[in-house]
Amino acid sequence: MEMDLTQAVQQNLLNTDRCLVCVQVAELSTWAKTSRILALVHHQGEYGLFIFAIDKSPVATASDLSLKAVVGIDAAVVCDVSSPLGIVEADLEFKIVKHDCTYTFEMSIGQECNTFVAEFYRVLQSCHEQYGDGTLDFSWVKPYGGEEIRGSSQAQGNQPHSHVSLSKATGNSASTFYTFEDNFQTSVPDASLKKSSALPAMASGGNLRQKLEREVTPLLRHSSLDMMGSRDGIIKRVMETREDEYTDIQTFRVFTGTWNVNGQPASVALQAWLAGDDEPPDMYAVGFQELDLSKEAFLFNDSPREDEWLQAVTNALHRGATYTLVRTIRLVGMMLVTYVAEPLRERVIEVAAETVGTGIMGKMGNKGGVAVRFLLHNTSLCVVNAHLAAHTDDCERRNQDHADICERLRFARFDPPLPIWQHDVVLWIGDLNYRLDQLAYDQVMLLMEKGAFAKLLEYDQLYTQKKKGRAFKTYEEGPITFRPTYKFDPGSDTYDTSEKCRVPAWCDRVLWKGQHVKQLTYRSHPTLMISDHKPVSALFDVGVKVVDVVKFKRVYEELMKQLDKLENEYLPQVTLDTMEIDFDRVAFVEPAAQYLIVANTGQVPVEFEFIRKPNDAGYCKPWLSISPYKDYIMPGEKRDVKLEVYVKAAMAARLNAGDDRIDDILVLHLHGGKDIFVTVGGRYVPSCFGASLQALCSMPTPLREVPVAQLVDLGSPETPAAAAAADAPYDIPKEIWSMLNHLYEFGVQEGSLFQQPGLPSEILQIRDVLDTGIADSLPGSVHSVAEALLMFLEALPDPVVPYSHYQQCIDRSRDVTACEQLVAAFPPCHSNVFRYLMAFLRTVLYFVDRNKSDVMESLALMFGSILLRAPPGVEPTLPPRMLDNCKATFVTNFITE
Amino acid sequence: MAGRGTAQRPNGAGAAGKICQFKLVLLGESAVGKSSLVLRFVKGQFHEYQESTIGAAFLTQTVCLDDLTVKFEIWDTAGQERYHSLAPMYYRGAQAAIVVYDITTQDTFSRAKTWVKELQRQASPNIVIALAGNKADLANGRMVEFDEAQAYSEENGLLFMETSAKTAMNVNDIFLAIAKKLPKNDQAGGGAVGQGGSGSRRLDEGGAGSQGSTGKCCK
Repeated sequence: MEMDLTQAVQQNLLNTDRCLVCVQVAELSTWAKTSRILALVHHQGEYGLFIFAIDKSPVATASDLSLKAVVGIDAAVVCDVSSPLGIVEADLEFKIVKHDCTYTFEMSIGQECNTFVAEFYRVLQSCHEQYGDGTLDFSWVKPYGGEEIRGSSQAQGNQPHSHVSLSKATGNSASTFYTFEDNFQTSVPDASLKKSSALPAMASGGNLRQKLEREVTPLLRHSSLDMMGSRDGIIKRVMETREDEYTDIQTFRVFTGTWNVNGQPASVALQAWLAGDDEPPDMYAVGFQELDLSKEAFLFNDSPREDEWLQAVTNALHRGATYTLVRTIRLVGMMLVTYVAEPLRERVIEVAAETVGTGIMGKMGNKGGVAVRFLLHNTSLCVVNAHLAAHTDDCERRNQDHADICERLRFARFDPPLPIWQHDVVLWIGDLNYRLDQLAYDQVMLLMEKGAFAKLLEYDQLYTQKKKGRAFKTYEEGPITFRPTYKFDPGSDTYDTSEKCRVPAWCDRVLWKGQHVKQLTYRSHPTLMISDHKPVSALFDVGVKVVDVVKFKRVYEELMKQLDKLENEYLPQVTLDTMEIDFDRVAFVEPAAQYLIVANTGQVPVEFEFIRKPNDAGYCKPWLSISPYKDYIMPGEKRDVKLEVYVKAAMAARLNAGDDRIDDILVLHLHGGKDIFVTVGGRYVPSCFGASLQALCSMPTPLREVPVAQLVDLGSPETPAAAAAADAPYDIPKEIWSMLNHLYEFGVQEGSLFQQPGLPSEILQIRDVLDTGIADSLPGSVHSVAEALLMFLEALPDPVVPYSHYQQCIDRSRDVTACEQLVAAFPPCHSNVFRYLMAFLRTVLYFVDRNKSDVMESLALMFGSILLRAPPGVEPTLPPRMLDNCKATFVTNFITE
Repeated sequence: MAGRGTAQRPNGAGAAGKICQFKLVLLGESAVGKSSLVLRFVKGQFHEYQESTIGAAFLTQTVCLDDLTVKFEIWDTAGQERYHSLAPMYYRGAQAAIVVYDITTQDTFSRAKTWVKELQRQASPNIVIALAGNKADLANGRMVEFDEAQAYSEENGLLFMETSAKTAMNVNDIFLAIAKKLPKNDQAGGGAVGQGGSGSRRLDEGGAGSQGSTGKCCK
């Protein structure tokens, strides 16, 4: 049983790290390909590409893998994916460059590969955006680089100078390319790769075509259905990257508010907080904390307060607009309510909400965050309402809560689940609980009275933690010009006078990140007194991407054109040296071959196949064979296809009669592409082989001297020519007489007549002599003449025992007298030929000196099957073996002495 | 571009339009301009001496309508009579057909009518048939009257346009007209494949984004 690869990788990781996606690849070096597992590993907002060696394949347990190297992913990592054109196994080359180390991997195309590459790019892009040019130290990778790995035997020998050993790497914070083992090839990255920049997905933007080719080509090799799917994906990606071309920025006003209500009921009007401005906002995001401090809320996440406060908010919204509730979400005491003004309602889609608890045991909902996200026009927006850990000393805990929410809050309706940071705009509100450090109550009061907020802010933990990059690193916050919002004596405007005498703090905050966000106001609302916190609000102008339908259509259509063009260019294409194959002269049992040269002149491998036409039994007529009739051709290569004509006894009569011709249209189909028609033609040379007994008896001259039209007429019994032939000049065809006479003269004394095969070349000569009368005697050995005779009888359009009498002869084969009578009833030439043949066989048997009965039996079987043939289309009434016996019995009646 | 925002599009993003795929076949006597029409439509080109098609050429082309995208799989067949018996291979399963004649040759119009009859008898019952009187640029040598062809088309429920692959007259239009007329639901022949995906969100859809319709049909 093969173990899930991700699971195997995960078991090789520390608990803090998670394998996002992994794939099996081959690492390419100048001298070898080595199987590897690439795993993208996440550690608290940082990522690493882990390269594992496979110690045992298939991977069954975690111990079958061993870590070879880790590439810490930051802005120094450059990656390129390319697929060499014209390789059918469609391997993707995945190249990773960091500083001066290069890894090249080969991946076979497929779902896993797609997922991995897509995820890798996503991570790479986000790292570029998050860390810019800065490098990370990747200290979390250190524990993986144990001495035992570095010290392994393979470490010795291979170009040690070109590698960065683990210790070296850790010592040098600029380089985060950990190599645990020296068995990788490193090289200077080529210039083109560096130039193509770190974001090959779309970032350089310039040469779209090249990129499309890179992406589309491997996909085109799959079936058309896959192609459709991939095409969808490509369209989506390209349209995303070209968003600027068809969207305009339109500004919307967003109100955000946060209030820790300390479990109080919604007993006050909220207008002063929510509707204090002249102009109505376009959107509201209002967050509460400690909405409900009851045990029920905590244990069962059930609160009557929810509706109460929701109603209070709804009642207090600005009167200047009509609002629609987008979504509310609550986790214990944390609630987030979002509204949009009515005209925007249609423009809000993909609404989702999630919660994350970071409280007791790291998961209870007394602390944590709730979030709502949606698309407003084309801008993705995420609002997070958080309540982080309390107490002045627990600053680190708050940082951790923030990190946990960032990491764990993912909108699960998306695949893969969508994290907070993957939004254009994030608004983060809540009771973040950061306090003022180092200051005593009195000091704070003093500074506050002076209005020295800037000075006070220097002691603000959020301010200092953010500056250190410990939390909210990428978020912005507007200048605070209001007094700390905590802690008040409830019902008053007085700071805590209780015994604890808590130092005032700006617990309640609003932060944001994203482009086109402008904060207009950042205020507290001290007139609301029911809680020990004051509510805070911030008003924003948010620039939102709005689709210009006309521009969008233009970009979309342009893309469609490009894709069509590529798709058409990558259709299979072949060139044939000819589309008309002329066999010229085609004669009975005389093989002839011609070659068709199929050249792949397109850009993709071609699978061709000659396909069956409607109403046909096969892909070509029975007298033709094609080899190979299906095959693959690589671009630039050619394939010789052999077409061979061979007219066997069973086909001769129809060709002789003109019912069939050497004429066929072959359909050469290219899989996933067009069809080409190839015409096959030739002139069939009529022969006495395949002519009727009737016709042959009436022809005084060799067959070749008879005009074709007359030949056709003689073949069909209804015509005047056939009637005239009734008084035929011959009792039996001269050709049969000629062959039998020859055998009688030279062969009967040869005991093995009809038991040895003839030579094909001699049979052709015999055929020609019979058809042309050019020689008086037949050429070749008696065995060839004997075989020619059998062929001749087999090719008769109406067998010696006529179709009309066939069934009776089978039915009455045991009745000698009846058989005699039946033969007498045959048309004259048929009964003559039959009697003549029987007489000849008796002579043959006469000369057989040993095993006479065996020979008789085999002759009876052989002639039975040739002389008695079922009419075409008639289902046999007996099993084959019994039928053969009946036929042999019929013949035996006439050859027994 | 790289520095623009940190957002990544979620997979659930809706589409500007769904993509429906249809098989379209061109039929008509040889040298009426079937391949030229396709070449004009797909590549915007015209060759005075277009090679005779010996087989069935295959190309794809996408047409964008307001609310959806139609992707044509175009089969351009050989017009010579000796390949007539192979035509069913190409119109079988086709959701659309363009029967082409040359307005300067009466015979080609008669042949076109025969094709229409054959399609009505043998092709799928919902097939959308368009009649194209090609070489409209050669109006001086006109042998088939516009009114006659139009009357015939009306009787038989065909789309009809006179076209010119040379001047591009009505070439895109006739494909567009077919795209509009094609039934976009599943029952109609099920040509549509997959759910179209484009980068833009569906502007007209409120609420839930990733709708579950991954089926074969459009709208």
